[in-house]
Order: sequence, then structure tokens, then C-alpha cells
Amino acid sequence: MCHTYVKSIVLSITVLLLSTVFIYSQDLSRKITIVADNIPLEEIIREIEEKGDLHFSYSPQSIPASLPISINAQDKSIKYILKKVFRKNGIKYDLVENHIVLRKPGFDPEQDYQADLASGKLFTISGYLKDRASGEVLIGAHVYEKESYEGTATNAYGFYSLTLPAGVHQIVFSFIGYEAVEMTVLLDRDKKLSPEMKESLMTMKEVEIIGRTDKPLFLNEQISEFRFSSKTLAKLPGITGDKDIIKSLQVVPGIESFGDGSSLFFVRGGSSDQNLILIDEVPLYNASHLFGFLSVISPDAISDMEVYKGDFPVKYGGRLSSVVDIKTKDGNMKRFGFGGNIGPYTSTLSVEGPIIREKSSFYLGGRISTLQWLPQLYYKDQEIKVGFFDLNAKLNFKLNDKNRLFGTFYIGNDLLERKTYSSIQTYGIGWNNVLGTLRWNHVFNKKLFSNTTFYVTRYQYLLYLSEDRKEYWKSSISNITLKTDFTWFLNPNNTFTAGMNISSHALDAGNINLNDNSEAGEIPNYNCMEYSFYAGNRQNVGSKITLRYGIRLPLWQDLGPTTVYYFDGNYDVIDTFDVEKNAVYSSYISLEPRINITYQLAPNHSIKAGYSRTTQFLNELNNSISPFTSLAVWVPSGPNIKPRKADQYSLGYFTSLINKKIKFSAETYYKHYYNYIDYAPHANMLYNPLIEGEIRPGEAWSYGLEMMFHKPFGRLTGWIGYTYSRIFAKTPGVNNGSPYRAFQDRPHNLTIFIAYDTKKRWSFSANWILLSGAAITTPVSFYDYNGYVVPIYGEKNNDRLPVYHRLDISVNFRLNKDEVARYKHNLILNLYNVYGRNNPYFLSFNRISDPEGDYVIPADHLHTQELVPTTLSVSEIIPSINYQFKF
Amino acid sequence: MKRYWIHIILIILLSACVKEADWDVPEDGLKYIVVDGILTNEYKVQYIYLHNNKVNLNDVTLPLSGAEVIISNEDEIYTLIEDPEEAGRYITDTIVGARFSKNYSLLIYYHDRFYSAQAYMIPGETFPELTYKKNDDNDLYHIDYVASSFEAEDPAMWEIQIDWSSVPGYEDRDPETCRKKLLFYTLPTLDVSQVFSPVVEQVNFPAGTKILERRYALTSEHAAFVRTLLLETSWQGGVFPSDPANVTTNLSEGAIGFFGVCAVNSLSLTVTPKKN
Repeated sequence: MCHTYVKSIVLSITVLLLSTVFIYSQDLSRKITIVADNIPLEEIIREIEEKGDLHFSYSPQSIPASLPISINAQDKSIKYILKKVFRKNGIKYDLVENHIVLRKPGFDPEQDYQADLASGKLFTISGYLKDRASGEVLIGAHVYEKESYEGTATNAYGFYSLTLPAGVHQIVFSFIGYEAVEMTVLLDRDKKLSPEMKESLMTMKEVEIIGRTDKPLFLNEQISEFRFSSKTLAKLPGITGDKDIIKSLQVVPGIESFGDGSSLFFVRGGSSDQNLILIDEVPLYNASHLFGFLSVISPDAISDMEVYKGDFPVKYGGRLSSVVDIKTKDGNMKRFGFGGNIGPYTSTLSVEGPIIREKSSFYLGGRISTLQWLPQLYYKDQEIKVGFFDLNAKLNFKLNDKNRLFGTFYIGNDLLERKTYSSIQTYGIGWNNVLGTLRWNHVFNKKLFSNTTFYVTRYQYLLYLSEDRKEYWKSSISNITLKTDFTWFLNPNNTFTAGMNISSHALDAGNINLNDNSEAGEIPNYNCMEYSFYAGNRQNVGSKITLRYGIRLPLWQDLGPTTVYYFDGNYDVIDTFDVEKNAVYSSYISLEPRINITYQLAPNHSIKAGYSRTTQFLNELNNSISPFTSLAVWVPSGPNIKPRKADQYSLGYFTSLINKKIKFSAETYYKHYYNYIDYAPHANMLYNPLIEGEIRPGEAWSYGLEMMFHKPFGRLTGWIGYTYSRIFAKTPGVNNGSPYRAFQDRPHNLTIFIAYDTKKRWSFSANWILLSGAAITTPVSFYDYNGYVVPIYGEKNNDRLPVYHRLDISVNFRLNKDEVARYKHNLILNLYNVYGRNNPYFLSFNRISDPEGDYVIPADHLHTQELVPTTLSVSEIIPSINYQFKF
Repeated sequence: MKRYWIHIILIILLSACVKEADWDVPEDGLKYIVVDGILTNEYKVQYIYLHNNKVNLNDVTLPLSGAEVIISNEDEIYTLIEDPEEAGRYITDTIVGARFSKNYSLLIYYHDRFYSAQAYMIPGETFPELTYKKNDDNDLYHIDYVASSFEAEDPAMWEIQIDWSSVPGYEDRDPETCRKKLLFYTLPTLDVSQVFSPVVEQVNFPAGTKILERRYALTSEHAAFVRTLLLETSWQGGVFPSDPANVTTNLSEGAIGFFGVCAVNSLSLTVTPKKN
């Protein structure tokens, strides 16, 4: 009987294997190490599966799963180990292709299997998807059953869970840039499969996804979402040759750049502080180096970046416009390696490797600006100092099959000092981000996954008032958070998520420290607690509808000690209140429903609709219109500042064209902002105890259309995106109470990105951006006062700067002839703003042309000099050449 | 080549590119009365300027003639007359000086409308002499340091009158080309625009130059006005430009500008030759 059963399975599997793309073949003479002392048999089986790259099939009733096993097999053949573990305990085994079928004499597995088939019993396959070379988990990879297309995707930690009926299934694992893995699985019990995927050479492909014709991508593509793999990031041109993760966002439809040299970006009309940037789940409050020329995280350290322009999953909150979720590399679990980049402006170096092979790893990466020595050569009196560094480290421990631990640490620091000819003798600016996180992944069972994170983060900005930096203005924001998330893969049609977080925030709105360590003034500090709870579900309804719905409930409390100022309608102080330590003086609660629905109209055509509410309690107050990150002051919601809220409605259409090679999406949205923040004219932000009185709350509304043609696979990849977007605001006390276009209102945005890999050693990429000029306020007349020519303004943001456009090109030449060489190195030529377009970010009417032809502010107030309107722009062409290496 | 790269990078990082723009001002046709005047505690003929706004950046100032101007405090009233030698300049007919503990009012009557402003004076302070420095590449000098730009208390305006018309070698030049007036400020506020504000023209002068340094004590209202004035003029267009807005005023009825009353302290010095 048993023999008949095995034969039937062999036959079935053989037939199925004919159509597979990738097959594991087994060699039982391969040597592995298994050491165990009274470990349950089931765990030993798992270890053999993992180390031996093979899979067991058995009925749980057929073997004594909890039988304690002791074995000391150091570097022994698999065959030897199988004998020791099974034959010795009276368990028979047979090798059927890549499966070891276990059975106990006298047990009838076929009868048991047939019973499972007949009853439609469900079993679950779960595990992690990993990169074969490094052991890094793969985020967002697809896992699906080839016949039915029932499928799922790996979560942010590379974990997946897929429940299917008993039987033989062909399971496909696919991920962009990797060769698809197809496995035949006899599903007669719950199984753990953690295949390792091999990176595809040269072209980015996702074999199975392209070939599919009858289903959309599991209806899985989320509305308003864009994912960057490390491969895509590597192709984008950067401003200094070093790839830049934040500037990469600017080529995504719906995301608008502030301009050259800026890390600030606007999503669907929202202000830049409405973007939540997460590094391994920790918020980063200033993502820029050198005022914004570069992003704070070295691109070498990134493994994945996901961007949500709206319709955030319920686990995200706290910002109105976007979430940029960056995952850093875990570190190679299999071998040591190093890499780096040497360039004229920055250089990076990273090392990674296993601490205990296959069990734990580390990643350590650092970057330093290489231009800080340049000013000192030219300005021998050291009037200018400029530089930055960042360092990130990660530890990754696989404690056992159910528990993983990650630790991340990041520090970044910027300093720029300049001595000027003016009454201001020395001014310096510095800012730094420090964050640390500890994450614990726990698999409760085949369907329930959890992640618990504890993190601390601090951002501070300093303005040095004395040359010795002993007198300075400083603002800061920091928080300590404990959060936990649960993912419950109930069945292929329902994936529940739920979680909560508790955060303690501390904010310094900008105090001056004097030389004697005293504080010059009394700017109240803020202490706040934030509690958030959420739950959501992704549900397939039939084969054509996917629903994602959920609710998020954030609670906010402001606590003492502090001094609260109360204002009247004219923003004059009418009362003050000293709050005692830990006393709650203000609290808010918000209910954030979120839902979106995807409906498959026809094969390869789907429409999606979504609604989401978001709430923001933290506000970056800044009335500068500079593209550079300037002296930011963060203040929380409280008695004078109500939480900002936004309702967003979106509707999208998705299809694929030209043999499924090109994806097309079009999405329209309307967003309404409540308690939108604008400022009193010439608001005083930096050193003002009454800073809350400078805020003018109002409302705003934005709407737009985003379209994108995306070719993600093949030697030629890229996209063309167009966005039409508008944002208007209406704020009592601003623009005479009449509606006005917001500063970030830039209606037209066209982006083209193309990357081409030749068959040989060259690769090319280019992006071109066309963007409406920023809204600005220009004078309608002038008057003279004490030698100054003073502008008079009419309507706010009445004018526009010239249209912005720019072409960047990157050429990459692989120096190693062998593509799979151990030591890989490249030369990268980067040209930013190739045709030298002068893209102004500001217009002013206050300069004269001096005898040297420079445009300067007139100093003499006795005589009239001819003023000229001038525009400011960051740069024309910026060339760079970088040497990149990896071992 | 190295210097070339350094220049490029520094320009990128610090100065950005400043280019002349051809920009049409979208005029709104509105006319404003502009008041430019500071009454001081110095006994002299006091004056204020009245003029209109102008459409174009480099238009000449349009003086406002024919106004009736009165300055008063609790005890005295001064009627100002238009200077027969300079239209739009209204002067006291006697030598007067402002006094502490008095609230001063300016009243202007023009074309059947009244415009007014109020101001008061705070005590002045003595101050240390400014410092100057020899240029690296010639024998001329420039102002190095006047006062701290930030002071939580006691805001002030520093008027530096520089005159080298009588320095040997410069006597034959047009005296007007050898006189400059520079303004510096100490304010109780810090602004983003103030940090890395645009490069200011450097005024150079020879050894032997006479410098008159005058400190105007500013009230908090006057300092607030100066702050917005600088935000729209000297500080605008730097690395961190602020959102433009109209400069504040203490004038009523839509008039603009500022009427202030200041205690003035002064000292004078002569530039003596020194090494770098």
C-alpha cells in the first residue's frame, strides 16, 4: 500500500516538474553539521531542511514529532544524518526528488492524505524569503500558487504565510531583480519554506509576473504606493555621483521637488513636514546633509524603500501627506564583505558579515564629506568650515526559527561655519540626527507574526552665535517609543494587522545658551505622550475584489512642566499658566478610518478607490521659503495649535500594455486639510516664547491627477510620469482672508526616467524633470526709507518663478570584466543639470552690481545706487566621477 | 584647477548663483504716504521726510509737498514746515530735542485726511568704539566689528558716517564720493534670513578717515519695525529667504514707513594706520 502511495506521488511530482523553471536537486552526500542534545524531532527536521536545502513530507500523525533526539554530526553527509535520526528511531524515509518522505511502519499515509484531500483540509506554508548571496530578507516579494494564483507577499521583515488546500502545489516565489523560484510542494501538513533567491544578472526581471495574463498582481498593488528596490535606487542619477534616496523620490509622479540642492519635497500639495521618513521604523526629522544637497542615509545602506503618497496602511500615522519607509541592510549572514564609494564630494565605506554564520550578522557603514578640506586650502584664515558625516550600524540575530532580533544605530552630523563682513561676526549652523532601535520579530505560529520595536530618536538644530560655539541657539525634538505590530495571515483571503504604540516626545522650541551655560530666555519646552491603536484587514472578496480597510486611533497629551500662553483673537497674550510636572494640560483624540477597494474590470485592468483620514500632532514651524533645510522649530499640538487633519479621496486605474511589458496607472485625488498652518507676516520663529501666536490656522484643499507609464523589466527600464496638482489655502489673517495658492502649488510636473543596461559593461541612466515654477509673492511698488528701497506687496503668492527643468545623466562602467567577480568595481560619471539650466528658487529686488560684477547688498545709505532684480539659483552643471567598489 | 573646483563648490554651497533678472512688477496703482523720520534727543533742527511710493525699483523718490505736519508731546507742540530747499523734507522751525518720559505724536494732514503715529524714547547707552581692519590686498581699511547683532535687551541702530574727503590724496575728489553712511543693528530677535544673509558691499577707506559712530536706542516697537525692514531688504535673498510680506508701520490710515524717537550717543575716531 505504502509503495503504491509513494509511486503515485512520484508520478505526480515528475509530471509537474516538467514545467518548472527552477528545481532543487538533492545530493545526499553533501556534508552538513547537525548538533543536538535532546531536541524534538520536528526541530531537527527543520534544521536539516534549512541546512540541507531539502524538504520533508510527512503526516504529523506518522512520526513522533516530539521525540527527543541527540546527535553530534559534524560535517557529515546528509545520508549519514538521515540514518542516525530516522532509521535509528524506526522511521523510514524515501527520497522523492527534493522531498524526503517520512513514514512509520504500519502507518498508512495515503489513507491519511486522501482523507485530507477529500475534506479540503487547509495547510499553511510560511517562512522567509532571502537573498542567496547575503541572506538578506526580501521585502514585498510575491509568493503564489501557480494554478490558482492564490498568493501573498512578504512583509516588511521578509516573512510570508500562505494557506492552501492539501495537495501538490507549485509555489512560485518572485521578486523584481531576482530569478524566480518555482517549487513543487506536497502540502500534507503545515510547512516552512525559506527559499533563497538568486539575483538576476544585468536585467531586472520578474519572470512569472510578466507572463501572467489572467490576473492582476493579486490585486496587490496598493493605491498611491511606490516601491524602490536597491537596484532601482542604484540606477538613478545623483547630484554628486553618490546616489540619493530622498532625491530619488522626486521622479515619482505626485512628489514634487522643491528644487536643486533640496531634500525637501511636497506630496500632493502637502508641506514638507507632512512627510514621515522612517529608517527601520524610526522617524527622521531632517533627512538632509549640506542643507539638502545630500540625504542623510548613505544609499549603500539601504535595502528597500517604500513610498506612500496617501491611503497609508493603518500601521502608519502621524503625518498628513506621505510615508517613506526605508529599510536598511541587515548585513550579510554568509560571508564578510566590504564596499565603498570614493568621490569628489563624499566618500563611503561599509563592512558587513556574519557574526555567527547563518545566525547573526552585522553591517557598519559610514560616510564623510570629502569637501571639508577644500575651503581651508583656499581660505587660509579658515573663515569657512563645512562638512558632515554619518554612521549607521546594524546587528541582526536569528535566535531561532521563531525569533529574530535587530539593532540599528544611526548618527549624522552637519556643520557649516562662515565668517562674514557684517555686524554678524561669525555664524555657524549645525544639526544632527541620532537614533537607535531594537526590534524583535516573533513568529507565534504559522499564521501569526509580530514585530515589537523600541526606539529612541533625537534631532537638534544649532545656530552658533560665537566663534568658539559656546553661545548658540538650539532647538530639538526627541522621542522614545515602544510599539508592537501583529500580522495574522488568517487565510489567503484575509490578512489582519493590528498594533499599538506608546511614544514620549520632548521638544525644545529654541533656546539660547550663553557662554556661562545659562539660558538667555524662557522659551517653554514641551513634553507629550502619544498612544496609537490600530487594526486593519486586507480581504479578497471573490476573485475580483480586494478590500483594505482599517481604523487608527491616536491619542495625544501635552504634559507639564511648561508655561502655556493663551491668546485672544488678535494674538495678544491674555493669560499665562504654569503647568506642573506631568500634569496634562491638553489632549486630543482622533479617529482615522481608512479604506480602499480594488476591482478587477477585466484581465489586466483594475480600478481602485480609496479614502483615508490622517492626523498630525507635530508641526515644524518655519516661514522660510528656502529650498534648504533651515533652522527648524518643532512644536506639538496644544491649546493654541489644533491637530492638523486631512481627508483624502482617491480613484485610480491600472493596466498593463504592450504584452504586459509596460504598466500604466492614472490616479486622481482630492484632499482637504483642516487646521492648515500658515504664519503671521514676518513671523518670528527662532527665539520667541510666543511662537504659537505666530501661527495662523486655516484650511486648504488640493487636487490633482497623476499618470505613469512604467517599464520595470528588461535591459531598458524606466518611466514617464505626469502630474497635475493644485493646492489652495484660506487663512484668516493672511491675504486679507481671501483664498490664495499655497507656496507649494506647482501645477505641472513631468518626469522621465530611463535606464539602459548594455550586454557588456556599460549602463546608462537619465532623468528629466519639468516642473512649474514655485508660487512667489512679488512687489507691486516700492518706497524709500532711510536709504533702503522697500518693496510693497499685494496678493500673496501672486506670481511664479520661471519653469523648472533639468536633465541628469549617469554613466556606469564596470571595471571587472567578469560580471560575477568577487571584487566588483565601477566608475560612475554623473552630470547633474547637464545643459546648465538656471533654475531660480528666489527673486529679490535689493542688490547692486559692484565693480567686480558681483551682485551685492548696498552698504552705503547716503547715496542712491541702481538696484537690479536678481534671481537665486543653486547650481548650473555639477559634474562628478565616483569610484565604487564591493567585495 | 584646484582653485577652480573650490570656487565651484563654495559657490554651490554658500553663495548659490545670483543672476540679474528681467522682471516686470505687476503694479496695483495704489498710492501710499510714506513717513521716514526719527526725532532724537540731540538739540538740532529735527526733520522728517514725507513722500509717495514709486512704481519702479529705481524711480526717484516722489516727495510729498503741501502736507501739514505737527509733532507733539504732553507739553509741547512743534509745527514742522516744508524745507524750502528740499521738497518733502519737513523741519522744525527751531532747535529742539526729544525728552524721556514723553509720548510723542506725529500728525499729518494731507488732502483732507489725517495720518498719525505715536512713539516714545528710551535712554541711550555709551558704547565701545568700532573696530576696523586693513584689507589683505591693498592699503585701505574696512569696518570689522560694530556690535553684536543679537542682544536680548537694548536694541539699537548704529549709524556709521565715514568721511575721507580731507585725507591727503583725496582732497581733489568730489567730496560726495568720499563720504558713506553705513547702518548696523543690534536686535533682540534671531531670524533665519539673518543667518547667511546676502553678501554686503564692502566699503573701503584710507588711513586718516574720520568716522562718526552714532548709536540710536530703539524701543521694542522700533526694533520690530527694523526687523521687518531688514527682512525685506538687506536680509532678503540669502540662503534662507523668508516669506515676503509688507514691512510693519506705526502710521495710521494706510500710511507706511515709521516715525521713531531715539536717544543718540555718539563718538568719533580717526582711522590710524595699522598692520593686517
